Amino acid sequence: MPNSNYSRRGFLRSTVGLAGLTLPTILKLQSQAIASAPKAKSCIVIYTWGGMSHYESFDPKPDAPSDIRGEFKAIPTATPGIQYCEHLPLLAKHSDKLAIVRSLHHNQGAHQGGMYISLTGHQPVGIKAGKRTNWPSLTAMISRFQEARSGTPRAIRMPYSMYDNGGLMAGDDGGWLGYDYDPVLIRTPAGTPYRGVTRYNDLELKLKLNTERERVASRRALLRDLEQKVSIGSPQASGIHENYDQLDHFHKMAVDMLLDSPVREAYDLEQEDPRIRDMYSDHVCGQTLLLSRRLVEAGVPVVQALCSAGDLAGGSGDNWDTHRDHFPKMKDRLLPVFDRAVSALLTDLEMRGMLDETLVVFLTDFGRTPKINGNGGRDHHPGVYSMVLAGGGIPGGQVYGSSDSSGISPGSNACTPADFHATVYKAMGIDHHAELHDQLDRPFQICDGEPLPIF
Amino acid sequence: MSCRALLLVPLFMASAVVFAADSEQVEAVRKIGGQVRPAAGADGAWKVEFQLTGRSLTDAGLAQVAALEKIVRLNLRDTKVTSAGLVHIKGLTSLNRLHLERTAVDDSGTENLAGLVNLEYLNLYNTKITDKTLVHLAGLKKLEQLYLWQTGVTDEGVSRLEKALPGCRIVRGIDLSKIVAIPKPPPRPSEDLKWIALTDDAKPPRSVTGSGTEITFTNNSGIKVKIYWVEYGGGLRLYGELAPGGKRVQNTFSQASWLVTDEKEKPLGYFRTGLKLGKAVIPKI
Repeated sequence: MPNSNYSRRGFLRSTVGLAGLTLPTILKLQSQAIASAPKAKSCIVIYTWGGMSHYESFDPKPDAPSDIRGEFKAIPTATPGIQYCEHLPLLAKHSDKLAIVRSLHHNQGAHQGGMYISLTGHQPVGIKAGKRTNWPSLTAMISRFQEARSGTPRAIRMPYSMYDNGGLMAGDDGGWLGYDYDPVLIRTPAGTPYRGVTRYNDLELKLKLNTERERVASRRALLRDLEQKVSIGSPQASGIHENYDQLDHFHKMAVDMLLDSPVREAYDLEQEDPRIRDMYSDHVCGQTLLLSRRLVEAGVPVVQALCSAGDLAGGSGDNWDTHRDHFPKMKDRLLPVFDRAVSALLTDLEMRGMLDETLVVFLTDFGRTPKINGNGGRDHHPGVYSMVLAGGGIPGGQVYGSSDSSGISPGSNACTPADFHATVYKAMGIDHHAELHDQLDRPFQICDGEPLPIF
Repeated sequence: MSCRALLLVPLFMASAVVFAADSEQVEAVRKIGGQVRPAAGADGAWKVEFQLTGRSLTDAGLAQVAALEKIVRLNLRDTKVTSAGLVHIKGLTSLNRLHLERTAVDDSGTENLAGLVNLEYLNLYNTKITDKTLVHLAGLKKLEQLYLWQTGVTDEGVSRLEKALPGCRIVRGIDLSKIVAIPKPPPRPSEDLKWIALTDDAKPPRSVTGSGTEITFTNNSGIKVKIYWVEYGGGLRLYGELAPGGKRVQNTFSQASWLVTDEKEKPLGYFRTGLKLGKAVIPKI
């Protein structure tokens, strides 16, 4: 079906569009835009920063030689014929909800490149953190197609940004969509932190602070005052205008959320049943995923949870970049937390009747090398890896594609991050060939891949 | 006003204006907090939601909503609707998705759901309904998803309904009392770090990469101090100031050097971290 619905919708959002159309025409276009209703209305992106081993998660190789197979066993899941790693016993019970893609591959062997291609679906070309020519993240791009409501950010990400040795990564923001589409970074207000470095930065919102209504209202007045003062000053003054633009967006969002929105209520984890909090586990990973559910419930269309310490920092701290001591790290710290938290999310969404309309997307940088290295670790391996979809109308209990018998290359149905993104867009009712314009009005097709035939 | 703010509103405003011209009923529903949107595919059908912006909706308000007639999707989650209001939605036979979860709905009045024959999705979680309500649902042959977590239904009642509706997925959720919290790990061992005083020209050793740990500074020096991390190359990176009596918990690695200076950046001394959580008490100067 030729689909220009969303560029139409984008057109409607511009003031030029409004002036040029009569109101009944707008209504007609609007109902055409939703002519084929997607099942998924919201999306939760779970990112395992550092590169989660495909062997020790969703693509175990029990029949491979021991130097490839590794120390862990494969276990049966609720779906006959599908096996996971033995340290995902809770997720194995949810296999009827998961669609595993085992044949992803790309050509980026470093974290920045692997993360960029996995999160944006595009090759990293001339990228740098903060540059407005970078591609938007999947989270930002999905949010671009959502209706904005007062006090409800289109996209939120938690609990911190992705860093590698102190360097902020490119590809985790709105890119050329502009500041308004940067997912709002908020801090998870509870949970035992990942060991090691957890870098917060100044742009994150701490909604718990100063939430007294009168104070917020007076800040709003202050903001207006500031706005006027800045508009009197010279916009050309050495980049001040651009910085202010960003500040303005985040401040407005914060103030709106604090005053008016169910989002504020959702952020208060103290209001959640303590048994539910235990189900997710008292770990920042679990509490972040719990918060993701609460935010989706409060009407936030897309939420991204970073399930890893914020900074890879040379392999220290709890992250998936397991060059050293891979097996003890995975067994003792990474997999149990992930297994419990993600299973809790699936259980929780399901029993509240939310899973059918909430698409859960698992992303990571790349897989890990077949051979165990001299430090008992596995290194970066973009040659083949697994990513997963659940809910949102995607039938679970299936595996698409395969890696070869040693997990080195795709064995069948090789596919790319772009194909995976196209699948996500299709599930969200977004035309993956939709054309958008960047801030210089250059046209871009949002995705170069094709949806996988999994639904 | 910036044009950014304007960009966000036109679609919503335009819809509101058109809806008002089209239908007074739509306007009335909007006034009581409902979000009304045209439904996909079905001509003149509506999707109506109250769970985010219209939680004060009462049974009386529900009567106004029902005036829209052709509603395919109705979300009343977290509203003040009760069983007494269900009589108003009795005639909404186009409904295929109905959310009544987290309302005061109980068994009285749920007989009004029996005629909603196009329902594919019904959510009753966290309501007071019991098996008596399930009896009224047995004729909803199109029902595919039914949510009954945190209700008073029993195994027998559910199994009777399963026989009547073999194509329906009935979700009862988990028993929260069976959740076992993960026991907290024992606290990591800690140690007192040695204060190594510096004379004017001495320098602290460079940090060397190690494993993740934590250092807790307590300033007993009686003066305000500055805290620097000694970089791997030997440079100094300021991490913060500490008032007299102040405390600061800092993520760090083992084999790191942390330099303490006075306000004028005169080195006073340093700590060297180990694998255990470090207690770093800055002594009286």
